[in-house]
Parts: sequence; C-alpha cells; structure tokens
Amino acid sequence: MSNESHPSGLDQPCVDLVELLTAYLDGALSDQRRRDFEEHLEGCEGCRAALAQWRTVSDLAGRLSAQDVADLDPYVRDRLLSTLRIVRRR
Amino acid sequence: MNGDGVRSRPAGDVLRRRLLPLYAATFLQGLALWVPIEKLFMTSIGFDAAGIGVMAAVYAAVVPIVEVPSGVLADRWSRRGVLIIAAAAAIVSVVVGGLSYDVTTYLVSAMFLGVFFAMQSGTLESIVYDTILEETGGSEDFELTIGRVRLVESVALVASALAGGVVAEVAPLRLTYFLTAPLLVAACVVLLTFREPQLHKAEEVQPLRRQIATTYRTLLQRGRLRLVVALTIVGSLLLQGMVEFGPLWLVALAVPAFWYGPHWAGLTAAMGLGGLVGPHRWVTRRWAAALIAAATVGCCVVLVMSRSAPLVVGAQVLLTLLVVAVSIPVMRQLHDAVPSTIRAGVASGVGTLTWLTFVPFALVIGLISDRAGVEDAGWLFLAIAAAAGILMLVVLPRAPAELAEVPELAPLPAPKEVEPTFAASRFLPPDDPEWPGHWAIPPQVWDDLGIRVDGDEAMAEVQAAIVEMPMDLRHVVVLRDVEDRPAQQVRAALGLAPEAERAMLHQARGRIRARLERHFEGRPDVE
Repeated sequence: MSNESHPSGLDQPCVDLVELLTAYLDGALSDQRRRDFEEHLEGCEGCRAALAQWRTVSDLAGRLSAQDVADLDPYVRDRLLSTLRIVRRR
Repeated sequence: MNGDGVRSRPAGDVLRRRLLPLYAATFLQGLALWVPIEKLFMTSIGFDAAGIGVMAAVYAAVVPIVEVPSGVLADRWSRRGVLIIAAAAAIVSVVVGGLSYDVTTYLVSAMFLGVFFAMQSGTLESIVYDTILEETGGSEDFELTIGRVRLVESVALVASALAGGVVAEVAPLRLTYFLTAPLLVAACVVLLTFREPQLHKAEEVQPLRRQIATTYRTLLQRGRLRLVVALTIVGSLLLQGMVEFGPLWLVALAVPAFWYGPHWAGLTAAMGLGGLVGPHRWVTRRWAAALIAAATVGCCVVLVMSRSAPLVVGAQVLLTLLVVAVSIPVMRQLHDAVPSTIRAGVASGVGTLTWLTFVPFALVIGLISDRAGVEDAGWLFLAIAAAAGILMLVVLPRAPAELAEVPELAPLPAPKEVEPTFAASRFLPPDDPEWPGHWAIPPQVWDDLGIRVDGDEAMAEVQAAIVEMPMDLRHVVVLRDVEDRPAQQVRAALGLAPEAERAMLHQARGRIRARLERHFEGRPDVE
C-alpha cells in the first residue's frame, strides 16, 4: 500500500494489489491507481477471484443482523426498557 | 397479537405458566380505579391548578431519586421483594389518598405513588428478562412477553378507567381509592406465588451523578444526538403533560364525572395504539413526519381554542397517540446512535433528564392554569408541540440512524500487526524470475465452483468469524458491513483516521474470507 511507484497493470504484484481490495471497493483509490488496479484485474484471474471473494464476504456480512454479532442482550434490553420508561407513565 | 399457535415449544409453555403470576399481578395493579377521577377529587379537596402542578413536580422528583437505589436493591436483594414493596407503597398511596382532606396529605400520597413507579419500573422488565433467560436460555421471547405484559396492563387500565368513572357516578369519589387497595393486596399475594429467577448476574449500576454527567457531555458534544434527545424530552413532556394535566380541561369545561372514565380510557388506549403504530416504517417517511408534526401542533391549537369537550378529549387522545408513536423510532435512533459502551448511561440519563425537565414544566403549567385558566396553559403545550413538530421534521425522516460522534471513546489504535490479506505462501517469492509476488495458489470464485455461498453453514462461519474477532476489528466490520453504514460515520464514531479504518475493515474481511475459504475448500490459509 505504501508503494511509491505505481507500476501499471500486471507489473504490479498481486501480493500488493490484494491489499487494495477494500480501498478499491470504497472508491478510495486515486484515478491513476484505480486505472492500474482495473488494468491488472483484466489480466489476472486470481485477483478477479480475490475481488469476488471480497464482495462475497461483505455481502454475506450484510445479511447478518447487528444482533447476530453484537452484544444482543444488553442492547435489546436497554432499547426496550427506555421505550417503556417513556410509555409507561402510569 | 396471539403468537401462541406459532411458537408452541415446551419451553414456551413452562415459561408462560411461570410468568402467569406476573401477568396477574400486573393486571391487578393496573386496575387503579382512582386514576380517572384523580384530578376531580383533588379539586374537591382544595387543590387548585398550581397545587396540581406542585403535586406532579413532587411526583416527578421522587421517581428519579428512588429509581436507581431501587434498582440496586433489586439486584442485590430480590426483584420480587422490590415488586412487593412497590405494591405496598401503592397501597399506602391509595389509602392516604382516599383519606386526604387537604393538599398536604395528598402530596404524601403522591410521593408514595412515585415510590411505587420508581420501584416497579425496570424491576418488572428485569424479572421478566431473567425468567425468560432462565427458562429458554435466550432472550428471543422478551419483546413478545413484554408486549403481553403491556397488553394486560393496557386492558386493566382501560377497564379501570371505565369502571372508575362508573363508580364515581354512584359513590363518593374517595371510594375509588379505597376500592383499589384490596386489588393491590391481591397483587402482593399473587406475587408471593411467583418463583423468582436466580440469575443474579451483577449488573452495572451507574451512580446517578455519573449518568447525568455522561448525558450532559453527550448532549453538549454531539450535534445530531442532541436533536434526538431533545425530541425525546419534549415528546415526554407532552405525553406526561397530557396524563397529568389533560383532565384539567375536563374540570375547566365542567363535564360530568362519568366523562373522566372514557377520557382516561382514551388516553391509555392511545398509548397502546401509539405503541402499535410507532414501529411501522412509514412513520419515518418525510410526508408522515410532516403530517404527524402538523397534527401534533393542531391538537394543541384545539386545546387552546376549543370549548367543546368531545373535541378537547379527541385532541388529547390523538396527541397522546402521536407522541407515543413517534417516541418509538426516536428511541431506536437514540440507541442506534450510541455505542454500547455508554448506551445504558445515556438511556437512563435521558430518562432521568426527562423527569427533571418535567418538574419545572409541571410547576409552570400548574401556575398558568391557576392564574389564567387551563386554556392559557394550552399555549405552553402549543409552544412545546411546535418545538416537537420542528424536531420531528428534522429527526424522523432519517430512518437509518446516523451514528453520532463519540467524544468519550479514545481513538482506537490501528492494528499493531497487520496480517497479510492472503498467506504469503499463496504468492510466488519476490525473487521469482518471471512473476515475483504474483499468485502461486490463486483464490477461486466460489460461485464458479458451484458452491452455494449463502447457505446456513456458511452464514454461521461468517458469524463465528466476526464474533471471534478482536473488539476493534469487530466494531469496524459490524458497523461497515453488517449495518452497512457509510465509512464517514464509522470513522467519526470510532475516532479513526480513514487509513486506519480501512485497514481494519480490510483485515476483518480478510479473516472472514479465510474462514469461508477453509469452509468451502478445506484450505487453511491463515496460520
């Protein structure tokens, strides 16, 4: 990620490119870097697969609910209790 | 409403049977015959509107004072015990109330009522929660069960509202107080038959002072959350204002005692109805927010202008319904916007703040009603409704809550050791003559291998991978990928620089990926 020179296309080693997958998906790469990245992808099946896996991971995580992976109990309890505190005046 | 047919697990049956005494006690405690005619009775023993304001303020001051100690007592000693003390306080309250011939005595009664609510609120929910946990090993049934408790309570309140009105027509007003006492005694007896859950896990009880300090800090430092909190508070003022002062309009309009029953029934039913409406998604649409805001203000205009009892009652009922309905998505936003580290403090703090705000509000409303008449007090309601309306327009339409900044959290350090996204062995060595750093063992496109990527087992792998992550990585991936929040928000919330946030998300995804690959292909990638 800290490469000072940005070789284009397949000159860029895959081992460096995979570190940019998240930045690429975030749209955080500079125009030049993005073009290099995409050029590399065109010629590199492995990196295309890596990107596909990255998308799959993000997509699958998105199908979980926050409760599936977070401190469910305090969350649910708190949310309900405060709602009730407002509603149950009498 | 009745999900029994759907979920008839054996554990559910046992749970329902075990909770039965709680339902029964809730019902009996809800049968407060005196509530609908309280303001009428108070007027008859010499309360003026200002006195009623003082009473409400006394009440509102007692609740937050007792709330925290009662919680500590419930955790350290016995929750059932606290519920029984609560019912006992209610008995004292109605007996003293019924014996009141002057303002001072009735204020004592109000204080005991405050003790009842403070001791009951939170304790009932905790006991339900722990019972469910003990019986089913999980908390999935909590919302459903609390929903049933609310329903039972609402039915009891509506029934008592009607019954209280009828009793007041044929008997002295104070009889409604005395008739309530045996019902409360019965509630105590029923509670004694309840088998208390023994899961006394130590709960963190924050000192009130720290809660208030945290809340103030949160209020002062966060732009967006401040609006959500403000709406919560003005909404509660309107709601509690209706409950406490709504009947004053009936007094001013000199309607017969019978009317107080349906009026109270209307208000309590509106709370239940608002609770049903609130969770719907359309409430947070822009047009709905505008409509609700306009209706809220409109109701208060009616309260200022109208001299027609049905119209005034209708406006009060509608106002109550709207405020309760709005409170639900707003509460959701509040919780969504607060990280779990300060959630409990902020939530309880907002509750406490609400009560503290209500004290001056009650005093002013009482004073205005007394000096100038309740319609003029309506202007204060109108002003608050206008503020609420504006806040609704701003806060409600942001359905997916935005994460506010969390000043209390120290910025998380970037991960110390950055794991490679793919194991080094997957690449050709740097000195490879032809393709240094290129793939030796490239990853596969899982879909192309005919693997169903979103099967239950795969989802369980993703879940396990996230749950097992270090807290900092987990925070980021949960907010970004699970909750799908914009990077900007997540960075602000966690106090992370963009590069650090992205690096952490990248690592988190890498861990999930490696685990999935192992699952799909049986290939150990991360050593």
